[in-house]
Amino acid sequence: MTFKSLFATTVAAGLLSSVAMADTIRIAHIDPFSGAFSNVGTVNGKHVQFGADLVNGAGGVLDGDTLEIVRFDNKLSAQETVIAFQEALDQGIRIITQATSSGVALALADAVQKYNRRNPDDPVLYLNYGSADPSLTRDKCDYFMFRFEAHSGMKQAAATDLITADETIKSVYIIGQDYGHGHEVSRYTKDMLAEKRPDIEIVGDEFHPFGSVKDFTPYIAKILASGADAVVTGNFGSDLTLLVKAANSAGLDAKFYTQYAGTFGTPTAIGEAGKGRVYDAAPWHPDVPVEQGNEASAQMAKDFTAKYDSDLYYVQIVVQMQMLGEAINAAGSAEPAAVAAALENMSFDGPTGKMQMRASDHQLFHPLFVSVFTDDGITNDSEGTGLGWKSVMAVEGDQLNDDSTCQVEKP
Amino acid sequence: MDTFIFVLVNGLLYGMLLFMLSSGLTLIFSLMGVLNFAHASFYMLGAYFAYQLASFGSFWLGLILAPLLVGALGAAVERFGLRVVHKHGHVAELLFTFGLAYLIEELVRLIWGRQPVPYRIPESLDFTLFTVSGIDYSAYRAFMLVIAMGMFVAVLLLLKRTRVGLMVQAALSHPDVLWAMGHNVPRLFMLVFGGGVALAGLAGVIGGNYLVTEPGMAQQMGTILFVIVVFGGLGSLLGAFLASLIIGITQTLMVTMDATLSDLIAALGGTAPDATGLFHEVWTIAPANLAPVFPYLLLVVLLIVRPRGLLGTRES
Amino acid sequence: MKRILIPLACLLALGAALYLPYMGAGRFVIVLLTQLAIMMTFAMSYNVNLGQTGLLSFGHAVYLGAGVFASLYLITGIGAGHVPLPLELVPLGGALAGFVLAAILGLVSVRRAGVVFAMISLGLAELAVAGAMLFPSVFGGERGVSTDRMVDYSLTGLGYGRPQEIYMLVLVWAVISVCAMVYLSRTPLGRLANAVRDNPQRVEYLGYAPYWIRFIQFCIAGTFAGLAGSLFALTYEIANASVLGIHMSANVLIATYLGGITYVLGPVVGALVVTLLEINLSRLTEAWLFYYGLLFIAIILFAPRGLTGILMDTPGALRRAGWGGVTKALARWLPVAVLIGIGTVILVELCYHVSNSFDPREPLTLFWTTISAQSWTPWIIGAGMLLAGLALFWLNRRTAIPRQTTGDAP
Repeated sequence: MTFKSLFATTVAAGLLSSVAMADTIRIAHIDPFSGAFSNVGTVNGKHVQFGADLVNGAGGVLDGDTLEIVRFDNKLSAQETVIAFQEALDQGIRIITQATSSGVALALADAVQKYNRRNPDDPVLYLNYGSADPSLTRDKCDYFMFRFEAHSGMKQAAATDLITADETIKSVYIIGQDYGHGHEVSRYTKDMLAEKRPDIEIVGDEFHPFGSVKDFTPYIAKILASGADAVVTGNFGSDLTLLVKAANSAGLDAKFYTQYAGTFGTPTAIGEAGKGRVYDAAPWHPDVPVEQGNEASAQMAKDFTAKYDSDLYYVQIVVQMQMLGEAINAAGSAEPAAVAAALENMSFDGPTGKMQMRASDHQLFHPLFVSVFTDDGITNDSEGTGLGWKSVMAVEGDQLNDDSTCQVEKP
Repeated sequence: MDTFIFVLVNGLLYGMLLFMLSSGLTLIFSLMGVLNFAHASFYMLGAYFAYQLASFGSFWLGLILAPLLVGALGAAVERFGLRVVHKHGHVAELLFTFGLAYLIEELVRLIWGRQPVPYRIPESLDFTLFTVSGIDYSAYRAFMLVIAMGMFVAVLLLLKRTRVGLMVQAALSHPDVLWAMGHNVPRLFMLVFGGGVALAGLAGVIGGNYLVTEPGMAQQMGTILFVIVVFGGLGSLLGAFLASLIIGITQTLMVTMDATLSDLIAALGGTAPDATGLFHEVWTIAPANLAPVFPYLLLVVLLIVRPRGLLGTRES
Repeated sequence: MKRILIPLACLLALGAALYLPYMGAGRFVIVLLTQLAIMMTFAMSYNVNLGQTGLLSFGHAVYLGAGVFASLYLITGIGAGHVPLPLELVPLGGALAGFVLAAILGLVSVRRAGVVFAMISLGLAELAVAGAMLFPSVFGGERGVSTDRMVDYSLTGLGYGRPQEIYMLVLVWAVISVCAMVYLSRTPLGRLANAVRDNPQRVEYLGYAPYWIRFIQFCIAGTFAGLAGSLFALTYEIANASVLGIHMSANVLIATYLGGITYVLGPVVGALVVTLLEINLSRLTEAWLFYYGLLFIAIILFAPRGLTGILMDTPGALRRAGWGGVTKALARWLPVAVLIGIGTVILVELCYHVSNSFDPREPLTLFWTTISAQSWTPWIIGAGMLLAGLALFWLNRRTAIPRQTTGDAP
């Protein structure tokens, strides 16, 4: 491709977008849509599109305007994310959504903040549908950034609630990946347990190298030697699977409290090894509508499956799109400044319960479900494994809290 | 002490798994001068083939057929790929295997998807063999150890007792003489490449269900194999064996050590320094944190001191 | 003729590149061009090692990273008023950081070339990444270190908030660096480096120490990599430890090799093509990685001197063959290329559609037509074209063999 044609397409795209602006509101979805993590991008993309279609199907926003999703592939690289952001700006898009990988999310947040500071008359809205890193709303909160899913600290609050309620747990072993996320989970767990159940002893606080341990047996040997009743981990992907498998094969029968066991092949990979002992804190699992007796959300999950031939999981992405739609209607405009003002203190009646955006740091508070991986008494299984998730405890959004004292500055 | 023995046995097992991969790689590298970047990809293919065959028939079918399939594929790669690139030099050969690793990974994602596949340990081996002070030892681990040992003995016998083995040995130490004696060296290359990657395939068959079978498994194994081969020394199977065990055991042992520098100072009677400022983490880094990079440290130091590696016969 | 044409073309391209922001190019094009300029500098610095001195490195991004982090801190320092340096001269700081690190690590790594050097560079790269992750206080962990390039102290008085302004700065530095590296390759040192690459023993007989020549070249490469890192820091204003990683090093190796390591400006061509492919091909198809891998392997198999080699050889080959020869060759090989190419594309796109699209049941658009991956027809057509192409290829090869053995192969 020559510069000239590239230039021409860009200009053409810019022209087209300004023509199309009349009746569609364009939202840039930046995620890895190719390469090793394209499954993540594809699954997220389905949810974003589904949420937009829900809003459009219910009559759209304003006077029948529709939401249109424009996808940009960032290949999970911070640099490509910045380039995609510029491309979206060129096309006249002023609402961006992204979340995969905290490193990329922080790079994008940084780019958006700088852009907004340098172009105060033409701001951009950044909707984060679920980065785990607490710092996004704790240290780096920003007026034009909103997060729609609980961060790892809030999920840990729910998980420690369950540990607190379980009288059989006398000692806890914390193990995590040796990088930001693992350290955050460890810190929150220690603080919260010290407050809620000071009698529980933390018998181990361990960090293992991220993504490069093949045999977790030595760690399991340490956990066995410590005599812990429960293991708390923020691990995901193969680090989580290998940990559970090694525990199973070495005969460790402690309970595992996790945050990422619910999807992306982890239930498949864990399989029987995790039955009855892996707990997960998440905003959704396939049996939530059954447990709540909520026809509407059951129908929503069914529609999703009918449309994409896969399970609805990231319900907060759908919530984000619905809340965006409501905010645009409330503001009477899709201008980022107006939408941000409308979103800032918004309450929403979501598919799993009441949700509230906190005005101070723009973090959404929503119900969380701590569930156990089991084949006993479940209606919808997970990834066709025959095993599924059963809620042990549901935590309402207003009962969640975190230690964020961040205060956004109004421009 | 029991824990120590348990960890040691595990380190041995991990080392043997590494050796199954590095034995083929070291033969290929020593003989052809090619650092085969795609070697771990053949390990991955072994696991996926075995998974597929296990879903058709049984695990045992996969155990026999999958390495053969991988070997045949490897021979074809040598015949139609490497041999063509050979005349462009070693960098081109290396980059060819690099590109191949890349393509194999994309292909695996295309065929089997991007998420882990449920490749499981066969039920006949899924039981606890014995328990030492509360730690179970599964039968499958013992089985893996037996297979790895068996493979080691078989490769040794093949090299010492057969004609092809003698030719390989000759080529390891004096490649040019073998050329001069009029042996069919290209065919020998094809055999060694096919055989070497078949061993990697076998490692995949027995490692894939013990670990996780997913498209990232090749990259995770990745460069540690080069470390072993170079560390062990060019042209030395025994060197690769020793290097595999050293790295397997030290890595496993290191993760159980979590005394930090400030602990050490405190133990010696001093006061731990205040942990603030730039590089303050240095006081709280434990050997356990360093386990994954320790092999690389070992490699760099060894290569600086002794460029031919542990038991290498020549430099390049 | 060639001597005037090439610099003239370069000057023209440079003029166009400088003029572009004034033609109203969008932010995307500007950022893309900035990225091109950075990659160009980085690839050129890599080739000082690989092409000129014969040092195959798997860890060149370490020196880029040194420049990136040094510059990030430097810019913050300037912004806070601690460092009296105009923003335009920040790349000098990055270059210094790259040089210092290369001088330290070079002492231990360039004693041997070949595999030993390659493996040491790999080991050092892994150590550097792991080390950077161990010190979040310095490298910021996965959150990274960020800065703001809009400082008050600049030579030109520009604020450098807009992408156009930073693009100009990056371009000027990139051109200076590329010219400097071209110049260095023509000095006696550059020639000696070539000799060390080809035959170190002989250089030793001549009274030069290959070790020191390698060392100097290694330091030069590190310096310019650090400078490229500085440009990176100025452009993106944020970086985490992944810039030191093996992915970045592999990328520059691929770009340089694809461009052609035997040509002075080969890496520039490679960086242009690879960056454009990476950014634009991925906007056309999600299977871009697959095509990219295929292209890479095809070039290694059939064009060992890279894209620049193809560019350079084509005019000569055309002249030798004459019009008749060209048409004949085209008639023979064009159908093969078309059949294999289109067949592969059809199959690959179908596979990707089935395996990773939002809904495989939806039809997909390919070559301006809409096909359904659920029916067998497109699969059969694709496979048929590919097989026919391969058969034709084999047939052509068979009939071509006698001509090649007796022909006038150069």
